[in-house]
Amino acid sequence: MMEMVLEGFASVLTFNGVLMILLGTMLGLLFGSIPGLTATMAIAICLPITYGMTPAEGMALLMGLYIGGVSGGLIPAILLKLPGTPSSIATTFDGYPMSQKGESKKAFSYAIIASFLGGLVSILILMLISPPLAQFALKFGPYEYFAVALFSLTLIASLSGDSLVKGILSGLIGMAFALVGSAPIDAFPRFTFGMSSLDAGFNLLPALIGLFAVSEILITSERKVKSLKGKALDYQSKGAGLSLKEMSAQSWNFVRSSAIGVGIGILPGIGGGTSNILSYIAAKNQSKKPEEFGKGTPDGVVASETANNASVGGALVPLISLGIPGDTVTAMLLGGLIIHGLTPGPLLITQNGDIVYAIFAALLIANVFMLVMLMGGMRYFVKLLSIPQNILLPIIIVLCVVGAFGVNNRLFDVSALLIFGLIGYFFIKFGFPLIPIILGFILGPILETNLRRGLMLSQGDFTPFVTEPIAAFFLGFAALSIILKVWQGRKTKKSGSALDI
Amino acid sequence: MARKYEGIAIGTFLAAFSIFMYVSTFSIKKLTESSIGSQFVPQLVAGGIFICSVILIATEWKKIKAVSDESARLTAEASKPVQSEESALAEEPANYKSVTVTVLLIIGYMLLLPYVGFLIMTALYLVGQMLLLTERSKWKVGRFSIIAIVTSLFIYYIFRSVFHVMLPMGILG
Repeated sequence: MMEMVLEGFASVLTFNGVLMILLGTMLGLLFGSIPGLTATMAIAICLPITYGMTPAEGMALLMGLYIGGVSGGLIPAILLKLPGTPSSIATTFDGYPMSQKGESKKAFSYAIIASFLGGLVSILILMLISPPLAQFALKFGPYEYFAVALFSLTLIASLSGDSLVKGILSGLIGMAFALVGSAPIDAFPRFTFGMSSLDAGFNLLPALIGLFAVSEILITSERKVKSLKGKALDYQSKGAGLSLKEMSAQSWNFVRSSAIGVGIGILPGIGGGTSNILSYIAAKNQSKKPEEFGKGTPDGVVASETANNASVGGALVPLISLGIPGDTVTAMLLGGLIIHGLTPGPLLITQNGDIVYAIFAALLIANVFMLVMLMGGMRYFVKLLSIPQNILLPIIIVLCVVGAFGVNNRLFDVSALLIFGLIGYFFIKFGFPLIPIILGFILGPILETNLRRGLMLSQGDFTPFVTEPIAAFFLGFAALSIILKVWQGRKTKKSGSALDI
Repeated sequence: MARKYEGIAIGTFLAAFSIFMYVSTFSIKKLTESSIGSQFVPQLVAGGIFICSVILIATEWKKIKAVSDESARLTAEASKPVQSEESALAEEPANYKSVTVTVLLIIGYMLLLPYVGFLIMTALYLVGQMLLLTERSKWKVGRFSIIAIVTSLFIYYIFRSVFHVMLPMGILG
C-alpha cells in the first residue's frame, strides 16, 4: 500500500498538480467563506473546466475545492454569526460569542487546527477503509448492486429533510428525469417526445449546476442584496494565540468529534451539515460545564469544526469503494470521474489505482494548504467578506451558463440548466430536499440496469434478489431505514402533541 | 392563506404528472426476450410518485384540519411580533417579481447568445442582473458597466484560450 501512496503523491506533485490543489483550496475557501456561496457551487462551476486536464489534475482541483469549501465557512461563522456553509452552523454558537469577547484570533486558531486535524484523521481512515471495502465489493453482482443502490436511495430519502414522503418523492422525481433518453440494455428511446436532443438524456452536469447553483441564486434574487459591511466584528490580529496546553486539553474532543464526523460522513445522504450539529450536541452533553456552551467556549468551536472536516473523508468512502455518492459534493465528484472516462465502483481501485491514490494524496496536500492559507491569510479572507453579492451573483450565473454550454457546445444544455434551476428553486420553496433528486438521478439508472441484468441472469426470476445473502442484507436495511423513520415521525408527533397540552 | 393549500396543490400536480408518465410508457416497445422490458421501471417510478403524492395530499389535508381546530390560538401567537436579535437583521419579504425578472433575463441571455455573441450579450446581461439585485438608490451604472465588460472579456479569454471552450462569437465573428 505504501508504494501506491507514494505513487499517488508522485502523480500530483507535479507543477500543474500542486498548482491545481493550491487554486482549488483557495477558490474553495473563497466560496466557503462568502455566505450564499457553497462548496457545492464551487465544484459545480469548476467541473466543466476539468475537461481539458488530466484526470489526476482534475481530481487535484476538485479535492482542493472540497477541503477549502468545507473549511472556509468558519470565517463568517465566527465574525458575522453567519455560517458560510451549512457545515459551519454550530460554529456560530460559540465562535461568534468568542469574537464578541475580543477572542476572534483564538477562535480562529482553534477552528483552523480543529479543521486540519479532523480532515487529517478522516483522510487516513478513508485510505485504510476503502481499499479492503472495494475488494469485498468486487464480489458484488447485479443482485447485490441493485440492493446497495436501493439501500442508499431509501437511506438518503429518509435522512435528508424532515418529511419521508417528500424525500421519497424527491428521489423518484430524480429517477424520472434519468429515465429520459435511451433505455439501458435495449436502448429504446424513452420520454424523448420525438426530440433528438433528448436521445442521450439529460446530462448530469447541467442538472447538478442547475439544482445546486442556479436555484440558490434564484432564492437570493428574491431580495435586494444588502451589503455585509459594518456588520462584521473587527478581526483582531493581536490578542492571545493558542498555547500547546490549551490545544492538548481538547484532545478527547478532537477524537470524539472526528469519530462522529467520519461516521456521519459515511452514511449516504448526510454529511458535514449534520455532523457539526450532532458533534456540538455530543460535546455539550459530555462536558463538565455545559452551561458555558453558547457563551463562547472553545469546546463548541472545536467540536463543530473537527466534525465537519472529518465528514469529508467519510463521504468519500462509499464513493471510492462502491461508486455510490453519499452527498451533493461526492455526487459531483462522481460526475467528475465519469467525465474523465473512469468508471466509479469497486473496480476503480484495481483498474485506476493511480487516480485513487492521487485523490488521497491531493486531499492530504489540500488539507495542509488549507491550514497554511487560513493561518497566514486570514486578514485577506476577512476582506473578501465585503465583496457585494449584487456583483458576485450575476457573474456566477454567467459561469454556470458557460459551464453548461461547455459540456457539449450546445445551447440545449443551457436550457436544461435553467429547467433544473427552476426545479431546484421550487423544491427549496416547497420544502423538498434536493439531495435525493440528484441521487435518484444517478442511482436510478444503476438500479434499472442491475435489475434487468439480474433478471436476465436468473431468467426472469425475482427470488435471487432476496435470497442472495448480501443483497438480502442491504434490502433488509433499506426496509429498516424506512420503518425507523416512520416510527420516529409517529413518536415526535405524539410527544409534540403532549407538549401542547 | 395560499400557503395552506400549497402541499395539496403540489400533491395533485405530481399525481397528475405520474398519470401522464404512466400513460406515456404505453408507447415503449419491448425489444428483448425478458420478463420485464424498458417500460417496467418507468411504470414503477410513475406508480411510486402517484402513491407518494396521494399520501402527501392526505397528510396535508389532515394538517389543515388540525390547524383549523386550533387556528384561534395559533393566529394569536403568530400575530405577536418576534423580538429577537435576528429580527433586526430580518430581510424584506420575498419579491417574486424579482425572481421572475431574473429568470426572464437568463432566458433572454440564453436565446440571444448565439446571435449577438458571448462578449456583448454577457456584458449586457451582467449589467441588467446587477441593477436588478441592487436598490435603486445605490445604482452605479458606470461602475457596473466597467465590471461587466472586464468580466465578460476575462471569462471569454480564459475559456477560449485556457480551457478551449468555443463560446459563440455572434455579430463580432
